[in-house]
Amino acid sequence: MAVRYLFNRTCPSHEAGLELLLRAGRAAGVAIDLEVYEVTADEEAERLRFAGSPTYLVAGRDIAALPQDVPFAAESCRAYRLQDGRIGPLPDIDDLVAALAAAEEETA
Amino acid sequence: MSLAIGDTAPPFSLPTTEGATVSLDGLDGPAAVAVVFTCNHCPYAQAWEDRINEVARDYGGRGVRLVAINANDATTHPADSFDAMVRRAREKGYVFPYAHDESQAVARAYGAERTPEVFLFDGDRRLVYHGAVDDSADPGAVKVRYVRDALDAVLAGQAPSRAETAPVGCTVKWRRSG
Repeated sequence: MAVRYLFNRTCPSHEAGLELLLRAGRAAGVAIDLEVYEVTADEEAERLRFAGSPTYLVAGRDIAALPQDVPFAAESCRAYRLQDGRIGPLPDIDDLVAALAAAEEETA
Repeated sequence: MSLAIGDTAPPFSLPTTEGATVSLDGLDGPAAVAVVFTCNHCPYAQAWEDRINEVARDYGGRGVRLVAINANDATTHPADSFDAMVRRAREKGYVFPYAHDESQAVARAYGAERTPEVFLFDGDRRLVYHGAVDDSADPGAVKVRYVRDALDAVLAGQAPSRAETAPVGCTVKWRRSG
């Protein structure tokens, strides 16, 4: 499964976010064809619809809805709505697992 | 460059979401002052805001004043506009003044780099703690409550055992020149 991991190093969650993805891949039983890419310019963020670091594109699709009022800017951290209602800098692993499993099922 | 432990708090006078002005000089004789640089849009700021509010509430009656300052450039991050700050403060029931540093001069004077980032001063307005609120953005994973520990020490007339930690959060969104 093709996964593009977009990040910006000014946001402290980028390493943990990548570890989370790899754990989700193992949990979903999905082999990940990973591309890690650092977004460094706002023009690039706009073109990629990068709503903050990290952003996960699974089979080309963002795993979460794009947040409102957040610009496409390279030096931004992504806010994820967690399953318990809180906001956090990384998604719930269950949401990542579900996105990977769903994409895998679509391509099967 | 950030303030160093022992430095005196730079003065400020800023508009708040309550339509007032908050200034360092106007904080009458508290035992300690916590200046927290934070914002609306950052997930780290959002993750910690309830805990910041709880600190202000729990220590307010013990002579501690907490002031939050948002210095982010709202032209690149509209979620950090003053109007959005007013909405956020009301929605979340902030018990502390939430001030707007539109010129970013205060953030520069303190050397703030992240949101959230705490500068805690004792009764003489000397910096005694600088860094994160606690050791995890996830409230369920907190092991060390840096700011509360530092406040307890200051209120007991002692120096905090841990004076500096690395603030974890989004970068302050500085206005771009040109």
